[in-house]
Amino acid sequence: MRILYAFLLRLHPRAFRERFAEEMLAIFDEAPSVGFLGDAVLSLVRQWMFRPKQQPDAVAAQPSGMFQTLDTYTPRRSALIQGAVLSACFFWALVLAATNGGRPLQFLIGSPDPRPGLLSVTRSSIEPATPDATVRVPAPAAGPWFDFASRYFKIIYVLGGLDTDHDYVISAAEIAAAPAALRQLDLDGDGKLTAEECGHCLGAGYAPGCRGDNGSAGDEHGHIEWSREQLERFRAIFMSYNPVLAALDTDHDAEISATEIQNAPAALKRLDLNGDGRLLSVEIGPESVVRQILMDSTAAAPKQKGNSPRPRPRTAGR
Amino acid sequence: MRDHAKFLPLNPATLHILLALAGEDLHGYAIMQQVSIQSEGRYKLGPGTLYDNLQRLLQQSLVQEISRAGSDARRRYYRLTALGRGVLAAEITRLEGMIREAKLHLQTTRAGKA
Repeated sequence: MRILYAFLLRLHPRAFRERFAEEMLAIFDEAPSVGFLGDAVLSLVRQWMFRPKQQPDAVAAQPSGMFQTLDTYTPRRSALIQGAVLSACFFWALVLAATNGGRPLQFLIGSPDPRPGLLSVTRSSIEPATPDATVRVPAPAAGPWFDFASRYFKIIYVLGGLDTDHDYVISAAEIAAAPAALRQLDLDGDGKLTAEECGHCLGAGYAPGCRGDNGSAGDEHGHIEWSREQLERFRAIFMSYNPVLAALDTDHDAEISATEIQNAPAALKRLDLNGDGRLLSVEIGPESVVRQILMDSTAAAPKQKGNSPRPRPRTAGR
Repeated sequence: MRDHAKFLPLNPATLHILLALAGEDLHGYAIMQQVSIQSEGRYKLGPGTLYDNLQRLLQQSLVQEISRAGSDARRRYYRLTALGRGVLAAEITRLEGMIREAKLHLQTTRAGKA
């Protein structure tokens, strides 16, 4: 029992042990008691937890460790623990106030609204998302069709007029709005579209509606004298060559009449061979171009051969 | 008196130690025995409690260690300082006032019940 008591005394802080351990052991030797063991344990806790640690003045005067004190003792451990707990609570409260503005915690996972903060933000670059937002995916700006269509849609005014969003695809909305789009091409206001108003030009300034930007043939002034029969034949060829113009000109008179303009949506829908509601390159491009595009796509992706829209049946020329 | 007030009130262990040292200089074990005698065996100090209080009393200069030849070299003797005596006197005065007040309250309560 004495050994145990001496061991407990050795566990005391050095300053206390060196000062009083010998006297305490002398008392134990004089009147040994089991109760002294419990008293030593209590003393052990008391000295380590609730009593400041004494240190020499020279040590106290020198900065060392994590902090410096001007006193001749370092704070007791219980005070350090209390300080740590208080610091943690203060820091937690500070973070709570800074991140939540002092309001109760809100779990906003999946919410489109921004989380309230301490600093009021009057404007934000983050737009709240709406679940029913329409996402427009722009068409790829490269490929054989787009290289061709960028010029082709300029030459064929009807195509350029129908393709209001300039993606070289006639969408369902553009098909539905075709009458209004076609009427805007009627420059002379006669209610119908001539071949020239559809894009047929045989020379700059040849006829009303011909914009002269598709190249020309003839003399140095771009003028060639064509006979009336030649012109009518050229117009007929022009109107039958493009599938869109051919579909719109249902009576094959080389003009798109007011009635044909009115019935344009139904005529255009007949070109939708794959039934996706819109007109793609293989459905509105010239046959030679379509054939080349299909050959390129087949060579590039042979496994997807069956997925490509089948070539449209060409309308018979007049 | 103002200096004494900052030490008050004394805890029971401190009060008993100061009372034990008020009569004569004592070593630790003798203090424990004297405390037991003063309290008629009802209050017993362990060595840990005794020297924890003595450590604080030494730091506060209420008690001082004295050199005194004895039979056991491990024993150290402690003496009450003038400051310690004044603090003890102030504590006794405080306790007397408290006891007087308590008695007064008890008499008033008895008179009220009668």
